[in-house]
Amino acid sequence: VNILKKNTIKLSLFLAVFAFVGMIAVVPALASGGNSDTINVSYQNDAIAQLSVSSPSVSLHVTDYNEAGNSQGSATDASVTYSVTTNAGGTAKITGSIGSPMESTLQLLANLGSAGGMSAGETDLTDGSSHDLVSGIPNGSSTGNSISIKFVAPITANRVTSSKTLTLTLLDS
Amino acid sequence: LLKCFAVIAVITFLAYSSMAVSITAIGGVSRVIDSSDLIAGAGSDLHDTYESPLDATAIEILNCSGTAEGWRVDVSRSDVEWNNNLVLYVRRTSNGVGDGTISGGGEYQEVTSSPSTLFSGVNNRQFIYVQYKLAGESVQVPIDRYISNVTFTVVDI
Repeated sequence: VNILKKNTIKLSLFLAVFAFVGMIAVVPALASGGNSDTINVSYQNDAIAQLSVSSPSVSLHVTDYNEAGNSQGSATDASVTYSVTTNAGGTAKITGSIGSPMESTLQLLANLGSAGGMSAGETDLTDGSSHDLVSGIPNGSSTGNSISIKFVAPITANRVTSSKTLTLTLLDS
Repeated sequence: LLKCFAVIAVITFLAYSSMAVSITAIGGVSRVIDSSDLIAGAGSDLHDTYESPLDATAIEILNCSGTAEGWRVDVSRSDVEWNNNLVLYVRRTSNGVGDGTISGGGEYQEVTSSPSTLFSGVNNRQFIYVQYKLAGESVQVPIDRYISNVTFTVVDI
């Protein structure tokens, strides 16, 4: 009986050690991975609103003062174009402002091509405030959109010179 | 007591014998696409494709029996938020290290909702890197965050 008990204890110890070592080996292995694993890919499309003009400046010279019957003269430049890229979802618009009012009796007007949206046509910017020039520009990119700038001055005895900065802003309306 | 230990021993043995080849994938992609990704500034569109780093995801194949146990890795994706213009590709960019071998998957292949085999091999391999490519981007794709879960599955062969 003692021999049997002794052998039983030995066998039990052996199995206990075997089980313990086995579990230590198995548990981390099982925890290290299954037959599949998943990772995440994420691409975030941020808002894009880019506008540029083909030339930084234009000069307008009113030269038709001497024509009979004119009370005012005008000069127009259409040599500058603009490029635009937007992904605002068709709600982008372009506003224009010269920052401060023109000198008395002088006028400045702008007419921008639609860039796929809707042009406001010839718009008076003389008061210096911001005016919508194009609205509803769809997602996309376009180049070579026209910019027409018109300067109007009355006939006076004095030579008049004015310099203004026209700021075009692309907004998500 | 003897019975108790015997049961534990049998369970341990069965657990060992039932251990199949396993896979671990670490690392993903998080990319912001903005005006700096335009081809040529205002008036141009976004670049069409965006590649992740070569080692975007590290994959490990472990628990092979060590007796020329063959396996293959399938890849599929499940979208959280996606746009139908966008196409996701994946390719293997390294052989990894280990006592086994590896082959296939060196060319970009589209990741879809259906599992497709990316590469296969024999025995344990670690540091297997994969790279992703997103195609179909443009400013026509609405502003949003597009997320997909890419699942790698190892299959005994």
